Amino acid sequence: MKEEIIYGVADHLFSIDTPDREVTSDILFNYKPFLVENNSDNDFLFSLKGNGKIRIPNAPSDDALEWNGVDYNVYHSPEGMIISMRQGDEEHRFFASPDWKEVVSDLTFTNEREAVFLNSFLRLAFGMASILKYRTIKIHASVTELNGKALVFLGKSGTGKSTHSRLWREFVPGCTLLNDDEPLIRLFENEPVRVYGAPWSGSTTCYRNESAEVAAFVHLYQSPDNNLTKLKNVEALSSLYASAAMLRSDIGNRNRVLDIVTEILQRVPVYRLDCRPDYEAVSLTRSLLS
Amino acid sequence: MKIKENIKIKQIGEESILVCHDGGTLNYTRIISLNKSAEFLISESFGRDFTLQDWAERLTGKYGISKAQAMADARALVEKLIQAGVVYE
Repeated sequence: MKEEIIYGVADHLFSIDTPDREVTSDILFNYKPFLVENNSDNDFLFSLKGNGKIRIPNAPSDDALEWNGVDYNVYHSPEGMIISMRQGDEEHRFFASPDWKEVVSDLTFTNEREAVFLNSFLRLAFGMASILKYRTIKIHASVTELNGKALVFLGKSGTGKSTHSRLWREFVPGCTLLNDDEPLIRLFENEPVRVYGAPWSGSTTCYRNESAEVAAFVHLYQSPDNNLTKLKNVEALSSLYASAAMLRSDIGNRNRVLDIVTEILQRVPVYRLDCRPDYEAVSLTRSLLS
Repeated sequence: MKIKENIKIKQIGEESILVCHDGGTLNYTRIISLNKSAEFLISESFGRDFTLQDWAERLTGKYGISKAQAMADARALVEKLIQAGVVYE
């Protein structure tokens, strides 16, 4: 029997057709806060179907990348995009038509060994489909929220984004971690830019189906001295664009990300924080939420 | 000379900013602030060959500056753009 599971991430819906709802939702345990019951909306980003036969094109891939222990190969053709993911001896495939109306995988959605593939695909697919239809991007960041307003900490891996968020929780009563790796930033007409939690959060277990208004982006750099400065437009664009997730081999995706990043910068300031991992650094960024 | 493909000019507030992607799938992006005359020259020259002389003439035509000044301005801009990898010869 075919069943459907519906998830809502950043208030965008997508579904998975599965022979067993319970088993699939257990495999995707990190998606449980995002489960949507009693849905009446038909506006889906995509509906993922399983057990498909997907042929790899007889050509070199357009993009080859490694991410969280999974090797990706991405192929573009007029019919759509094919993604092959490999981890060890296992390989699985996904296909998406250019309009995301047809999204198929060779997975069964009933084997827990498929979790890494399903998670990786959904994360990538969500980013690509949500920007196509809605103005939502994924960004590499750690997000701290206080009373409905958020600071989005950017920076290269290992710079101390998570540490700065942790220090906030240590020193600022009432603040919470919204996401620690790749939150979603969503643009609305005539409303503030918002940041959303996601079913992924790097190595931190923080899968929150909640959102906050973005007060500022803060790009962190390790330094012996604490110093907070507001970035000029060129630096702000460099910082945010470098932090945004995109499929670089897909020019359309890349240009859409650039459009969204530019629009975000019309409304939200970007700061540079040179910092030590200490209280004084937190007190500097704390001033941005007053 | 020619301007590379994959160039976008974006507006943030009053400022025009050039974003240049290079190297296909490589993560290599250049971002430069443009003044009004640079934006004008680049926008006019997408997808076509141009010379220093062409740019100088456009500058004198639009801003009514002397030829010598226009040549100097055009040369300075071209040098900056070549260095940034936005323009190639």
